[in-house]
Amino acid sequence: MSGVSLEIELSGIKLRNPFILASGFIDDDPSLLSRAWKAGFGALTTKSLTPKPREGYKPPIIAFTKAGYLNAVGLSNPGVDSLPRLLSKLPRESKVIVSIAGSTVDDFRYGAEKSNLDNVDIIELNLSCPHVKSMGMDIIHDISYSLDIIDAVVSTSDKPVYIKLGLTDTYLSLVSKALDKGVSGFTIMNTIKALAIDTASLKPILSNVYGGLSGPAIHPIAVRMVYEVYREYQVPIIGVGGVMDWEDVVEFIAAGASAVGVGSYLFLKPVESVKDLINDLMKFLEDNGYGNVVDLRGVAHKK
Amino acid sequence: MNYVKAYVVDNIHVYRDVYHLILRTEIERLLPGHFIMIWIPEVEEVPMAPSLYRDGIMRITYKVVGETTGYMSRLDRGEKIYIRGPLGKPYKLNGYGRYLLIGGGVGVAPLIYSAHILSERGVEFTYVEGVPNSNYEMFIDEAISLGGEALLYTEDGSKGVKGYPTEYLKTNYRYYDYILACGPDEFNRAVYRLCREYGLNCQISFERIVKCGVGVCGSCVLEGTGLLVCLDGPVFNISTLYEYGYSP
Repeated sequence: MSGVSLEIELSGIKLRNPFILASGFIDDDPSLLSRAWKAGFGALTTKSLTPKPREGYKPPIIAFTKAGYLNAVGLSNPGVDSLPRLLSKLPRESKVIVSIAGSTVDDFRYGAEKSNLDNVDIIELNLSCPHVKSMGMDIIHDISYSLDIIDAVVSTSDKPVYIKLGLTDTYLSLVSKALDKGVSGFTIMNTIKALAIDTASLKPILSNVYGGLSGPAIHPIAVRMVYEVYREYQVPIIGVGGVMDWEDVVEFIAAGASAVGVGSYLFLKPVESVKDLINDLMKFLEDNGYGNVVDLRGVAHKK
Repeated sequence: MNYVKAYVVDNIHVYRDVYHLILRTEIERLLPGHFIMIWIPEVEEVPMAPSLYRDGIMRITYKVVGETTGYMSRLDRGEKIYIRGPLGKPYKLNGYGRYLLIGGGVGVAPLIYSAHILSERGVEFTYVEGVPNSNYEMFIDEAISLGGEALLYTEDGSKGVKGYPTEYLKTNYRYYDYILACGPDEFNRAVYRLCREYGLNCQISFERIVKCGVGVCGSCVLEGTGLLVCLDGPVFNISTLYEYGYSP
């Protein structure tokens, strides 16, 4: 291959490339995580883990719309106690982001304690799930509650802590306060609460009625948020939302993201298809005279 | 991928808790081994591999195991449900060679559909069905009517041969070029072991809890392999299973 380097660093952690398996995608089984690592991702995010295992919602949990996908999985997960087992098939050199969810400060503190494992690199706090009551957007809309959670986790864990942001009007204010509390970076963004009605049955498709919208529809919103957070704070950002091809990847990085989450891209595709994104990014960098991906970061801000 | 309407043409009680749901619908080409998601609004969405699909008529052979299949069993003629598909990877069927179709329980659904396709292509096949006792016999007559050889194995010996269909595989595998299998996990594991041992070309269909059906939620992972039943399967060649570390 060429001399272009895709290596990046997130809060001191070296990643072989900027592609991160987004939380919630084929990530709640040791063999799935192992396969995703072999497929070439730079890091893997686990499913959002709660103190106790959760069943999640009944199918349909997925709906297809013209502009993207809705999901309402219901934070199904094997519980944070299962983390050692979940990571048991990954090689030493793999990079892991543990996503934690909960409905109380103690839930998050417990998650952080249980994530204090050698093979965990970053803790991501899911404060913005749009389809589970008391475990998501209701948290991030309440800045002082969010900060209590952040306090508890940062004081419990030595790992870098990232916050997964949802779409709110006040996210820049939360970012500023979270940084003061010792947060290391941000994952931008979560899905957006939405609804799809089937035209054959004229019923809401999802069993939960509401779901989180992902895919192309949310990408420009995510790019905006990445752009604004980078402009104000130049902190590590994982850009997630509607990455469907290399252009979306390049946009995120140019807006200021250090890394890029991949989720909806994997609908109906094997996880190995991330290789296409990796190769396409490499080609873009080559064609445009970049020696490494880090130089592309934030270039959209240059005057 | 949108839902398509499916009208109930008939809901035939086969035995005990097993039914054939006959649907009139129009979805894309659905081959043996493919599955669809059946959605009953406000109830649930469940995966099913049809036991036949032709000329817009689909047969779903199902066992009542819970709320949703219970609801299905009470569907009347003319009622409407919704389906999406076809999903997954079907059996690869050639127009030549000798086929052994071997299965157990309602899992035989995609096998009898395969028998229909093989029969149309003039391919020789043997259909072997394993059931607990004679009351559970399912598609033996249909397989015979398609011109195939058909054998019933019952656990209690109440009809056909006493024992498991894997016994047939052990003694007769030399006669076959291709093996198609589908059944409960224990059965699938046994078929896998035997076919690896004998070096046979074998495709096995697996059943798991499929939720999203498009390869992202991970609920249908084939334990220990990283393979997804909904996307990489439900039909796997045993060479793929081996490559991904399937260890029965």
